[in-house]
Amino acid sequence: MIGGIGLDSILLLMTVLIAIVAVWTKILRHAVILLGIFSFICSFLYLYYGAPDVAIAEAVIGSGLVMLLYLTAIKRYRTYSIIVSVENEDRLEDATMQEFAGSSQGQLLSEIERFCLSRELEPEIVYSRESVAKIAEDGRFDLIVHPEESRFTVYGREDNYLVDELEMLLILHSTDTDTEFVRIGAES
Amino acid sequence: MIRSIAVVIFVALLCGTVLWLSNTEGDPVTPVAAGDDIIDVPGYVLQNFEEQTGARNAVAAIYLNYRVYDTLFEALLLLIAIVGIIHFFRIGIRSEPRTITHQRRTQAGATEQSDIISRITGFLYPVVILFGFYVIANGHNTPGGGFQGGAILATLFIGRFIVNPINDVNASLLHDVEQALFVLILLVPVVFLFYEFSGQFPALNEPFLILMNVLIGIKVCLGLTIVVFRFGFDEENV
Repeated sequence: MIGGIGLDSILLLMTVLIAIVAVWTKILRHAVILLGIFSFICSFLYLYYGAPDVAIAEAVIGSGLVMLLYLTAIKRYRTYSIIVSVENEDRLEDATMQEFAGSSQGQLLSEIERFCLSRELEPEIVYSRESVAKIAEDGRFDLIVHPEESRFTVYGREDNYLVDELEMLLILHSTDTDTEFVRIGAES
Repeated sequence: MIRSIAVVIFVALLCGTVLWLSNTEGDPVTPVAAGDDIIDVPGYVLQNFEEQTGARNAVAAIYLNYRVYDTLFEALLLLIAIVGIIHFFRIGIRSEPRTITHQRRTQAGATEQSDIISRITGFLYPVVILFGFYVIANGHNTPGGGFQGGAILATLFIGRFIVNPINDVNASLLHDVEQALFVLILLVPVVFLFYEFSGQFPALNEPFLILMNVLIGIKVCLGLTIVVFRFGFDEENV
């Protein structure tokens, strides 16, 4: 007993605080680690209340298995594939891509790239001569970018959790070119 | 702004409830009426579990003898969860090759393995294996048991996946073994407890508990390993 409050109430308050911090954290990996600490405190509480069997289970599942499962999931879904559909080019050459990267539309693309990096994602940019419809049918993309003479269209999957923020980003950064953001449904 | 204030008020209320709950005295467990007699169930279990089940850990006596139905359906629950995970990952597989021609990767080399984690995992490997088997084999005497020990062993295999992501596990074989183990987990208590061998041969009580813990431990370990390897390698055929 510390000043009339038991050790268990201090630990219980700590679990509440850690849960709140885990919800408000911007970086996913930090949230996972905080959840691990949360489970560890819970496990200590079970031990304090005289349930060592449950404490072992909580420690192994909560701070071992669940953390590893989340870390594996984050590791797997870190690649964000952005597909640039350059339909009207005859051949894809390095010069074409360099030219595009230097244009104002290319700067918009690098803005998206920087956004992905800030979210701990690895942007993978693929240049393709297929049409947008065909790429959408193929289904292996997170974002399709379709640059034309006067327009710049971005197609995002509506089931991706970054779609709202990417749309805001494009609205903020589209100055001179006509930019449009289209949401397309998940694959059929 | 309103949302932030609401959150602060909610958290304050939550903390207050926690403090209030932790300072009130909990009621002792009330006796249960069975027919005409009044039986104090926790007291009965604590008095008789050693001679009736051969266990020295009352929790093991309850989940492997008095309430073995719970354990059977828990094992079934895990099996169904794993079947579901395998099924949904199989639906997600796309087999045709990528048709897109040109590719440029940015930020190459960001997925390198951490040297510290690999070394520490290698160092901990034998210790954790020993601890897992200890928890399984001594589940009837000390805190622990099949589920906890199996989860400890599974954590080890999954940790190996984090260090060295190579898919050298034959998941369909593991799944078959797991299903066979589930049949054994059903059969052993049904034969031993429901045909009342437990009362006739008291010497078999302790081997029964050890056998059940080992079966449950291996099943849980295989099941959890399959789940994580499914998450890790969902593109390969299983």
